[in-house]
This record gives sequence, C-alpha cells and structure tokens, in this order.
Amino acid sequence: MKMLLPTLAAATAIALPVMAQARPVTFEATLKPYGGNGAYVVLYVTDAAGKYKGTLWMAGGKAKYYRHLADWQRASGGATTEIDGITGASVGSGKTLKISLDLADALIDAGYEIHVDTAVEDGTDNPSEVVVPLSAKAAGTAVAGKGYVKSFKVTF
Amino acid sequence: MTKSLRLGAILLLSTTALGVAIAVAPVHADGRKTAGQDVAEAHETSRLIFASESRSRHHDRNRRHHHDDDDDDDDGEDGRGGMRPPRAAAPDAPVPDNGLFSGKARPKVDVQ
Repeated sequence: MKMLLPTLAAATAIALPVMAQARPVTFEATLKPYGGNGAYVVLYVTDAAGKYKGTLWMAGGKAKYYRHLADWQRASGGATTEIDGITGASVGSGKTLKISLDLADALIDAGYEIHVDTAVEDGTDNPSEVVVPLSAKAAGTAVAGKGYVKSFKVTF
Repeated sequence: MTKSLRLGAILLLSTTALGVAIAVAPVHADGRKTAGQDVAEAHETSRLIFASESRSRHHDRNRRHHHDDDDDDDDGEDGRGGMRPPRAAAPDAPVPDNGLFSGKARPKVDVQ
C-alpha cells in the first residue's frame, strides 16, 4: 500500500506529458459528385519550408496509380513504406472521407501544412488541390479544392 | 460403264488421299492437337488478338491516362524495380514512424 501512491504519481508524471503532446484532429474531405470511379486521395504534411514531413492517409490501394498523385509522389519519393498501415479504399463520388487521429501537438501552429492530392481513373490528376495550414486559426473552416474536393475541413 | 468406273476411281483416290492425310497427321489419343489444327488455331488466335488490339486501340483513344496502367502487372513497382506493394490497411497495422502520429494509434477512417 505504501508503494501505491508513489507508483501512481510516477505513472501519472510519465503519462501526462505524453498525453499533452497529442491532439485529436479530424480531417473531412467531401468529394464532388463527379460520377466516375473512386478517387485516390492522399493527405500529407509539409513543414514551413515546404519539405515533406509524412503522410496521414492514402485512400486507394493500387500502388501503380500513386504516380498520379504527383505532388505526393514527388515529395515522398513514392515509397510505400510511407503509407504502410495508413492505406484504405478509394473514395467514391460525392462521398466524405473522415479521418480522426491523434496528431503530434508540435505540428499545430508551427507552419505545417496539410496537402490533399487527388486522382481519378478516366479523370484528372489534382496535385495539392487543397493546401491548408495546420493552425488554430484555419481550423473549422471548410475550403474548396481545385479538383474533386468539394470541401475540406480540419477540426481540433 | 466407263463413267461408273471413272467415278469409282475418283472416289477411291479421294478416300485414299484422306486416309493418307489422316495417317500423316494423326490425332493422338491423349487429346493433343494435330499440326494442322495448331496452325488453324494459331491463325484464329492471331485474328482474335488483332481484333482485340484493334478494339483496344480504338478504345484507348477515348480513354484517359490511367488505362495506360492496365498494362502494368507490376503493382508496387516504380519502374526502378525497388518498390513493393503497400500492405493493406488493417486495424493492427503499425502506423509509420514519421512523427505525425503522436499516440502511435492508427487513424480512425470513415467514408460516408
């Protein structure tokens, strides 16, 4: 019993900073009703200098199509290790892709940007069709993309 | 009478020629095809392939870039031969260690 309180205090001391470093963030991308095949959609992060930081999600399972996500391909080098474990199905016309994750707190209000590339078979490629800052100011505001994205919103 | 003999001779010769042809290119009991059949089928296949390519070319004119990829059997290759296909997203798949996923938990994804 004597050891319980110190152990609990130590566990809390270790756990709290870890918890404080993560922030639950939701990304919502609603596609236009373009009526074609499922869209390949990739969300990735660049730093203040525009340097690729990492990928958040890849919607679309066939690696041979990834080269049509041109900006992501260029920035990431197209390495599939970048998207292991964070790859899902392509997104249908008019559908909304909602991604919730614990984002590293250090990325918020630090000049980082979210990029969205899209591509559709028999359609067009839209590299960086959405670019929004990861900032408290931009959070909650829906922006339209240049291609298939009707609206994109980050909330945290 | 001469006419009947001539007809009989023609019939006999035809039958003999047919027999010789069959003897030269026998159909094997195990189902393998004869050389003649192979040649005929090869011609037929060529015609089919040509027709198919013809249709494909015609179709390609009306298609966009992604169909160029239909010829790729190499999912995951980048032309340099070094890439492998990504693992399918699974609940227990680890997220990349890129510093973005603070909790190391996989993103929750929903398509509506």
